[in-house]
Amino acid sequence: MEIKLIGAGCPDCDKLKASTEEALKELGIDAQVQRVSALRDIILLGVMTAPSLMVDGKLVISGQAASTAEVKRQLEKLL
Amino acid sequence: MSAVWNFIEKQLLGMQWLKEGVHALLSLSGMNMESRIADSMVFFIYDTIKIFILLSVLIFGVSYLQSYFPPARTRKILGRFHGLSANLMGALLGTVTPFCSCSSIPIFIGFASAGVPVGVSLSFLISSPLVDLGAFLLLLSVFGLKIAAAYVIVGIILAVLGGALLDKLGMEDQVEEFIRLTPVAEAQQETLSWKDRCVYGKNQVASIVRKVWKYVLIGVGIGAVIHNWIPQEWVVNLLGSGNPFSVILATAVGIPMYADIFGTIPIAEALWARGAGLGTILSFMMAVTALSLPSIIMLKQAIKPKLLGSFVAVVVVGILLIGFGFNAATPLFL
Repeated sequence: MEIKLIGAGCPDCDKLKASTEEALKELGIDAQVQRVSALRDIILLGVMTAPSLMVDGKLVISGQAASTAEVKRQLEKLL
Repeated sequence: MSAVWNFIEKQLLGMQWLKEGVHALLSLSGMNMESRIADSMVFFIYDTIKIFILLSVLIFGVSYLQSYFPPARTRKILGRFHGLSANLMGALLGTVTPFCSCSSIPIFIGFASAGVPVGVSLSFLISSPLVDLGAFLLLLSVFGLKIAAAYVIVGIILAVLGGALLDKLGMEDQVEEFIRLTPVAEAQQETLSWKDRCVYGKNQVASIVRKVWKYVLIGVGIGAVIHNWIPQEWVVNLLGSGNPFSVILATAVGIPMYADIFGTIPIAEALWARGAGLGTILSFMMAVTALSLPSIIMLKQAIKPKLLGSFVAVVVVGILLIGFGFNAATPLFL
C-alpha cells in the first residue's frame, strides 16, 4: 500500500498523520506514511486541499483532519 | 411575513432569548444589573455563547454544502466562463469553497496551472476569506439584513472588479514559472456519500473552532470593553462617519490583524452600538479578513512581487472606497 499524506505543514496535517498511523496500526497494515509537502509535488498529484490522504493514487480523504475511526473506515473500503 | 422574518432575525439568529436569560441569571446572583460591570458581563457571556452556537451550526451547514464544490469542480466550472462573468463566477464560488489559509495557495496554483486567467483566480482569492456564507448569517444576526446584504454585495463587487482590474494590468507573466509549467493533474476520488459529507462538516467545525476560539474570546472581550467602558464621544469623534480619517484608521489597524471574521464581528458590533460609522466598520472587518500577513507570505511563493504589490494595493484602495462610500450613504441603512 502506498500512502501519501499531503499538506504543507499546518496543525491539521499533523493530526491527520497521527490518526492515519494509528489507523494503520489498528488494522495491522505494515505501510509507511509518506509526507508530501512541496507545493510542486502537491500540484503534480492533482490535489488542491490540505490535509489530504492518498492511497495507491486515489484520494480517500480531502481537506480535513479526519479521526482515526474515519481513516479506518476509508482504508477498510480499499481492503 | 414580517413577523416571521423578525422572529428569525431577532430570536433565531440574534438569540434575544439568550441575552434575556443571561440577564435573568446574573440578576438572580444578586448583582446590580444597572452597573456597567453587569452590562459588560451580559455582553461577554451572551456574545460568546451566541457566536459559538452560530459558528458550529453554520460551519456544519456550510461545509455540507461546500462538499459539493471541491476545488477541482470549481476549476471546471470556472473554465466555462469568460470575461467579467468569469470574475463574477470566481467571486461567487469563493463564497462556497472550503477555505483555510493552508489551502489557498494550492487552490490558486491549481487554477493557474489549468489556465484559469490570473484575474479570475484573484477574484476567487479575494472573495474566499472576505465573503462567506457563515459570515453572512452571523452578520445577519448582529446587524440585520440590510447591512449583512450590503457587506456581501460590496465584498463580491470588490472581488470582481479587483480581479478584473489586475487582469487588465497584464499580469499573466507574474505567476511563478514553476506553476505555469506544472502539468494539470486531477486526483481520482470517489463520490461522497451523505455520511462522508456529514463527517466532513463535523471535522470542519472542529478544525475551525480549534483555530478561532481564542480570536472569538479576544474579540468579544474587546467588544465588552468598548461596549461599556469607552466613552461614546470618543468612539463618535474618532470613528464616527463625520471623521474622514476614520476609514483610513480602521483599515490601517485592520490589515496587520490576523483574525477571523468571527472574532471581528463582536468588535464591530460594539463599535456600531457606540456610534462608529457604518463604512468605518465595514472597512475594518474587510481589512482584517481580506489581507493578513500569513496569507501574503504564502502568496509570495506563487506570484511575483509586482503582482503581489498590485494585489494588496487594489484590495486596500477598494476597502477604503467602500468605507467612504458607506459612511456617506449611512442614512440609507438606518
